[in-house]
Formats: sequence, structure tokens, C-alpha cells
Amino acid sequence: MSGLRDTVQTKLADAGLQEALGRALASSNAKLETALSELDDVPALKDAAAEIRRHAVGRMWQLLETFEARLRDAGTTVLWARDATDVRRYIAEICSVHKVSKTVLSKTMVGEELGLEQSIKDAGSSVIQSDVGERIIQLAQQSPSHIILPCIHLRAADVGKILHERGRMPYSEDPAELSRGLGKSLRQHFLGAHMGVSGANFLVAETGNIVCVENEGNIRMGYSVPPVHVVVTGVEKILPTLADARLLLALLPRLATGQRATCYTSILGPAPLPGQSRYVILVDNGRSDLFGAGPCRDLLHCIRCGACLNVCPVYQRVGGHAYGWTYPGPIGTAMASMLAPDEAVESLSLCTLCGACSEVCPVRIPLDRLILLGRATARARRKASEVRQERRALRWFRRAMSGRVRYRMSDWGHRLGLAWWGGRVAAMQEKLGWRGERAAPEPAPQLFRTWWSGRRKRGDLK
Amino acid sequence: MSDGGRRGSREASFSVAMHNRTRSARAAIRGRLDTAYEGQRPDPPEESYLRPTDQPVPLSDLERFLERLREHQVGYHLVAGAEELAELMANQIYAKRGRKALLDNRGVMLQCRLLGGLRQRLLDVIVEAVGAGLAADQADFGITPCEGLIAETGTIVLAADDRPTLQVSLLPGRHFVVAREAQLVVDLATWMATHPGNGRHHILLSGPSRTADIEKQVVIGVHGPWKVSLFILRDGWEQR
Repeated sequence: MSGLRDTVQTKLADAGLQEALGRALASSNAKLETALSELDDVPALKDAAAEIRRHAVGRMWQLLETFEARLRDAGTTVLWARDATDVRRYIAEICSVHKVSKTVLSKTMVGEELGLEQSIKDAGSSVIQSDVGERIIQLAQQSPSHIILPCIHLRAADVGKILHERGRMPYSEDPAELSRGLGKSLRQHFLGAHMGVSGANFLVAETGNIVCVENEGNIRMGYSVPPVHVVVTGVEKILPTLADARLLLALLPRLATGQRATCYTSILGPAPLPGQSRYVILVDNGRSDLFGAGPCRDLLHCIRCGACLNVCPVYQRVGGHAYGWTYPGPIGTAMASMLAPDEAVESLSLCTLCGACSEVCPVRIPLDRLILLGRATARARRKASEVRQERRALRWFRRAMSGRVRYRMSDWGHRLGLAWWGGRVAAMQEKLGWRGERAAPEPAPQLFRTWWSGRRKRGDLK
Repeated sequence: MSDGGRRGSREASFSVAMHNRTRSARAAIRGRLDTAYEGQRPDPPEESYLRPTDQPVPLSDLERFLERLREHQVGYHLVAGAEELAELMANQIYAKRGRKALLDNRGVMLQCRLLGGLRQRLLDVIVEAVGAGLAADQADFGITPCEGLIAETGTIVLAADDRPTLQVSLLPGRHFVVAREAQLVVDLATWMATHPGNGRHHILLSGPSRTADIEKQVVIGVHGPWKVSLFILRDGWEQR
């Protein structure tokens, strides 16, 4: 836990991070409110979206089979991957067969989860991240700190420095100059790429469509220019019909970026483009475990809008890297607690259980309850001796609180203890690090019960 | 063995290896999902989900659509006929000192004889149709027809069947779209109902390429065109 505490302290003390997060998230949340205010009945829309996702995930296998058949009939190669190892093999074989030595990769969280960039490099191809934010992160040799805005933790000045040092660009602090400069340098990579790799937002079983949502045009470049297009996506992205995708498309851009619609929504047909080879890799990587994990199946409903991160009071202060897992924020914490419980033990503390994430979620995932469930699971995995101690302490507390006399005695005992050993208690609290963030309040001069009965006697209460 | 033969045998072994791996992965994923079904069978699928209803709007569809275009920073022109369209477009290309323009010459573009109209007016500019040799990344202007206009979100629906056509609306710095007023519909649901999935690739375009990755500051024109202009042929344009 001290590791997490140190991380949090470092993040809180990082003025640059605080400035970057404060500015970006204030803007995101203001846009979100405006975008949602245009809709007449947001709760009904969210109910419908949640229902669509529940049904789609509930009959995932049947839908995936239909989707696979549609694509195969149209000439697209569909590959199934249990985990990152399978994906690595497929990528190696695709690169070998098509003699791929230059790849452009569009932002995909599944890709982050699987270490896709490294897999492509291992297959002997250079790989350039084509999303502006991801390219900055790649040059900085960092990991993304947000699902939608990978470099949200960096200020323009930080970006300018990174691009100057590693991207061979003149130093600037102007976001427009930096973004356009990157776009210009990326253009040559697109035109010379042999393979484009992207994720997908939705897969449509009925028609075999692949839906990708973006603003920059890098995903469009990735499937329009190179002769090989690979889609790497989670199995849970499946939807029954295009009408279902339409409804989710009314919510996704609004929640993600505060837009009515993103600049580009590509609805790819099931067939590859003439003269192009297309592969669709359907990735499990623990999703089937979530499917069978009772209430945790709800996590598969996520449409990766990132709104839960934007509204989370903890994320707003510490950013995404503090969570130490691919997916940061509330959705990441809940997923990690199920898929990588050992890694998630610490990040489970980065939640106040305020419920803001569950409230904003467009598909009604009860994130706070799932994090609480994660905590219970983590507790069950702790050492028996630690659990015994905690249980004993709570038993004493329950006894003290559950009787009038015992409650009074504990109250007086607490006061006397503080009066006699206050210094020692403070020293102990200091040692345990309890006073790091705030001072312990002084006891009130009067007990609440004494004050209450005094008011009654004076006749203040009727 | 010739190069072609070597390549062929490599592809065959590649296919077998890939086939075996994907078959076992598929079976494993199916097995895990089936086990989960046994433990907790999902509710039977319902056919009728709650759908949002289309709300009445105060503005007419066209006015609302044009308002959305302004918000998305998409330029627009309402034109009466083919001659006016060619004249206006040629003036714009000339004013921006365009040197090369590439046309996706289908549908309404053919009906308007836009290629010929532009060539007549722009003698110093190379104006070509897709497939005639001009690469999309060499063109200053990409000119395409569209498949529909959506009032609710200010969206232009593009369609393409091949990579060269897709690139016309993506690689040039400026993108001109030609539409008919009759193509305007209220919302995406209406458009989908009238255009059932036909296997084509569609792009819902709602403004020029943009990013806000650095400090959430919106920057127009990163990978795709930085300027999008829509030319709407008013109803009855064929008679003019």
C-alpha cells in the first residue's frame, strides 16, 4: 500500500499533471453536459442502451457465429484469439505472408491490452501509432493515461518538448502547430504502409458490418491506403443489428467527447476492399471469464466512452498512470479486480464509492458496486491472520456501538484516552501516515448526547 | 522452384497453421462461454427493445441541417442547377489556386456532367476522374457525391466500394461533396430504413478532420481534409 501512497503523493505534487488534468477534464465535462442537454430523455436512452448491451452480451456466442459466417462468406479472414500469444502468432504470420515491413496502428485499447505494438515489431515490421495522442505517447515511451485522450496528462509545453527531442520538430507550445506538424509527418507513413491495424467500436452480426468511430481520420487512412487491413477487437463488441449500433452511436460520441457525432463514423462492409486482404481477429483474453463471473458480466457491456474517468474525483486528481493497469479509472479498476486481481489490489483503494461513474455510464454498469465486490474478493484472498485481526477489531467496534451504556463508555474512554495519551496517539498516527493528508479533528467540547439533553431541558426543543 | 511456386507453398502452410490455431482458439472460447451459460443461462432474447422516439423539432429539416453544418465548420452552397454548380465550384478551386482536382465521377456527378463543366472552366487545372491516373494524395481537391444527408446530426453519408474512391474524400486537403436536397432525411434511423445494408462501405462524415488530443484544444485538419464544402442541388435542379 505504501507504493500506492507514494505514487498518489507524487501525482498530487506534480503541478504539471494537475494543470493538464484540470484543464482537460473541466472542458470534457462541460461539453458532456451540453451534449446531453440536447437529448430529451437521457435516462430512457441509457436504459435502452443498457438493454441492447445486455441482450448482445447474453447471446454473444450465437451473434459471433453469425458475424463470422457473414465475413467468411464475403471473403474476410476471421481469426479467434484466446490471448496475446495467439494474436502475436497471427500478426507474425500475416506479416510474413504479406511481407509487411511498415505498419500504421490506430488507437485501440485492446491493442494496449495485448501489447500489439510490440507484437508487430517482433514480426519484423516498423510500427507507427497514427493517432496524434498515441503518437506522442509512443515518442515519449509512455503508456496512455486515458481511454479516449491518451496524453491527457501532458501539457502542450511537455508535448512540444517531446516532439522537439524525439520527433525532430521545432519546439512549440501551440497545440495547433504541434498537431498539424505530427499529422504532416504521419502522412508519409500512411502512404508507405503495407499494413493498417485498427480496433473496432461495434461488430454487427446481422450484416457483418464493422463500425469504427473517430475524429482524426487515421482509422480511415489505416483501412483505405495500405493493401492489408487487420482489425483486432474484443469479442464483446458484438451487436445484433445496425439499428442497435445506431442507438449506441447517439450516446458514445456525446459521452466520449461531448459531440453529437464524431467527424468520421466508418461502417465497413463485410467484404475486404478490392485488392486488399482483411483479417478480423476476435480476442477473448479473459472476457469469457467475465462472462461467467455473475454480476461482473456487466463489465462486458462497456462501450469504452471514458466518461467514468472524466467524472471520477480520484482520476481527476491522480490521472491514469496511478492505476498501474491498461485500463485506468473506475472501469479499469473494476475490470482489473476480476481479470488481474493481484495487480488490482492497490488500485481498488483509488475509489471513494461516490457512484459518479455509475451515474454517468451510458450502459448503466454499476461500477461502484463492482469495485466493492472487487474489494470483497481481494479481502478474501488476503492472509488469514490479517483477516482475523480485522475481524476482531470490527467485533469490538460492533459491541461498543450496539448498546447505550457501552456506547457512552466508549465515548468517554475515547476522550480520556486522548487526554492522557493524546501525544502518543498523534505520534502513532503520524507513523502510520494517517496525518499525511489532513489533521485529526479535536474532540468537541461537549458530547452530542449531553448537548442534546441540555437543549431538551432548557426547552429549546418542542 | 519459381518465386510464384515458393510463395504459393508458403501461403498454403500459413493457411494450415493459422487454420489450426484459430480452430482450437474458437473451440476454447466457445467451451468457456458454454460453461458460463450452464452456470448462468442468459435471459431469452427480446425482439423489441425500448427505442427512443424521434422528437418534433422547431426548425425545418433543411434549416436544422444547415445550422449543424455551420457548427461543424462545414461550408455549404445551395445551388439551383448543374451550370451554377460547375461555375461555383470552378470559382472556388480557382480562388484557392488549386492545381489538381480528383472526381469520384458517379451518380449525380455524371448527371450534372460536372467533370466536363469543370474542365471547360478550369483550363490551367488538371481535373480527372478516379482511375484516370491522378493519385489522391497528389490532388488539392477531392470531389465526391454522397449517399444521404442527416439533419439531426449534420452528417453527410459517403459510400465507396474501393480504396481509390475512399481516398478521394480523405487524402486531398479540400473535400467538395455534391448532394441533392431530396437526399436529406431527419435522422440516422430514417436513413438506415431507406438504405438497407448492401455490403458497401459507408462513412458518416460530420465535419473536417480534427483532434483535441493536446490540452483538449480543437485543431482542424490533422489527417483528413481540413476543409469540407457541401454543394446542395435544390429540388427541381434537373430542369434548370
